[in-house]
Amino acid sequence: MDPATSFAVALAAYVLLVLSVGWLATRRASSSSEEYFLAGRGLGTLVLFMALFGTNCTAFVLVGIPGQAYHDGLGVFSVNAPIIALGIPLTFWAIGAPARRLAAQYGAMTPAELYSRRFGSRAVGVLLFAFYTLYTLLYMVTAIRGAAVTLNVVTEGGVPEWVGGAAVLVVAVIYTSLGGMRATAWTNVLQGAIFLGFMVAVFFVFADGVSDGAGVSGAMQAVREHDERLLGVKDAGLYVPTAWTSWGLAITLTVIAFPHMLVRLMAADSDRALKNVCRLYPVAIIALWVPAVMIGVWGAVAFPGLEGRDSDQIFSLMVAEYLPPALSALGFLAVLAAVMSTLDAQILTLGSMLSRDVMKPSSDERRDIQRGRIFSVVIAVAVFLLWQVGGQSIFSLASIAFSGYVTLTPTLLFGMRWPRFNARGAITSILVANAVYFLALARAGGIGSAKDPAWFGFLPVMWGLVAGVVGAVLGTLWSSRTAARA
Amino acid sequence: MLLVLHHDFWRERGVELWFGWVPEELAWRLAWMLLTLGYLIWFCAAVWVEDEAA
Repeated sequence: MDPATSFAVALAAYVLLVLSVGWLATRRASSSSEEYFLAGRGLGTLVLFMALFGTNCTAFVLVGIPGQAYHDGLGVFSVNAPIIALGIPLTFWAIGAPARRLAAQYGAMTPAELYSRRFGSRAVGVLLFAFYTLYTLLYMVTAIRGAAVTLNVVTEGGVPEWVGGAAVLVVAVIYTSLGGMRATAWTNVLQGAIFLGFMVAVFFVFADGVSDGAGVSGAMQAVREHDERLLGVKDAGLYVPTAWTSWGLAITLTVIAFPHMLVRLMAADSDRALKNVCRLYPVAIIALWVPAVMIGVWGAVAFPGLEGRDSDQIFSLMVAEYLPPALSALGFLAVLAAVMSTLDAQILTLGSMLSRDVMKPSSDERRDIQRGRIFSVVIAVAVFLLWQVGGQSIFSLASIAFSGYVTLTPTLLFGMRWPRFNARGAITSILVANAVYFLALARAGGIGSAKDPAWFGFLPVMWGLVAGVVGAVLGTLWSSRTAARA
Repeated sequence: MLLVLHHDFWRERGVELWFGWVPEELAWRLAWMLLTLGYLIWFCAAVWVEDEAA
């Protein structure tokens, strides 16, 4: 079978499979709003874990991390993987577990709805929705672009970028709107297995390729001979103590603030399932991140001389060089699976928030589900237009999203763990945190400077977070004193 | 303790290959992550109180 045919067959099989899963979930999804938006709050350990891990991991880990490791070496692993292996499970405990319980108690189906009911304030829900939407739309545009560019490269320009991006969105919208949360969770099991399995397998294949059959040991020796600094940690940029700490906070706290992650935690069937996910997370992080970083480090030996962002091609170059032509299509499927496992969750979550937080929930559940489906299409069209109209400027804007989500974490945490925390505290926290975050971005060099220091060597995210905590405390205490005087 | 070990700027970060194939930096981080796994297993068993009432 020639490469083009094997690519077409693999792609067709994948699309057919995810659409079938969506169709299988349709009947159950149509039975109630809770079933459509939250899979009946019934996700057990395996599906919950794959849904969370699949949603958490985007094409950034498969394509962006090797590209960064190409230049920075193992330090990319050191600054990212360990702290998220600890931090993400702890945020699942601190925010996810009480959010799940409280959401079930209130009958809330979206994060904004949960916090709106917790505070008895529609304003908190609308404000959360506004910032969730801002940051998530930017995040989605980069994901679509990643898939579209990869498809364009793999087909050697045969599929124009706009066609590839539109096709990915259409497939994701079809199975998401058909089967709701259950369809996205089930497809995430398949998608997670594809990209995790692929990365573990190619780790050994690429080691053999780079070292001419001498395996991992030979590949490491080759790196040492090529440039031994790639086996250590740089002492500049993200790797100096202040940036290291700020970045650690950003990547740890941002995940729980993704609305599409929190809503999945709300869909867990029990605390036990959440605990099991926390135990599995570090193992999965190792399985995914070690190969991702080593692809970049070994790629520096195999393809020296790539400058700047050109190193983002290293994943595709290694796949094309060391995998048999018939299997290289799997590389694209792995990227596609990682993109779609996040994209479907984002489409569903923003659609459900539009349906339930901006519009008032309908008493007719079927109408609620129909509205959710229509809004999923609206979100997909908005993302496509934003990508097409915004051009390159959107991608520099997108870099603010990950740190921007962190400005919401004081509200998310205190809302679950501090009984006195109230609506005024939440609103003050969100507004002050975002104001300070954007000021810090401007100080650091403007939009797109989220990884550059703002003041005293700390990144903008750190200042936004501190402002959010201060805003939450002052806002809450101020309103408590006002109430006491009254 | 885990956070102190993660912020290991006091450590001399070498580029040696342990056992001829594991970079020292990677070995250190993987060992840290195994400690983390142990901590999370303990945390889930001893600290995290399940509430099935909701």
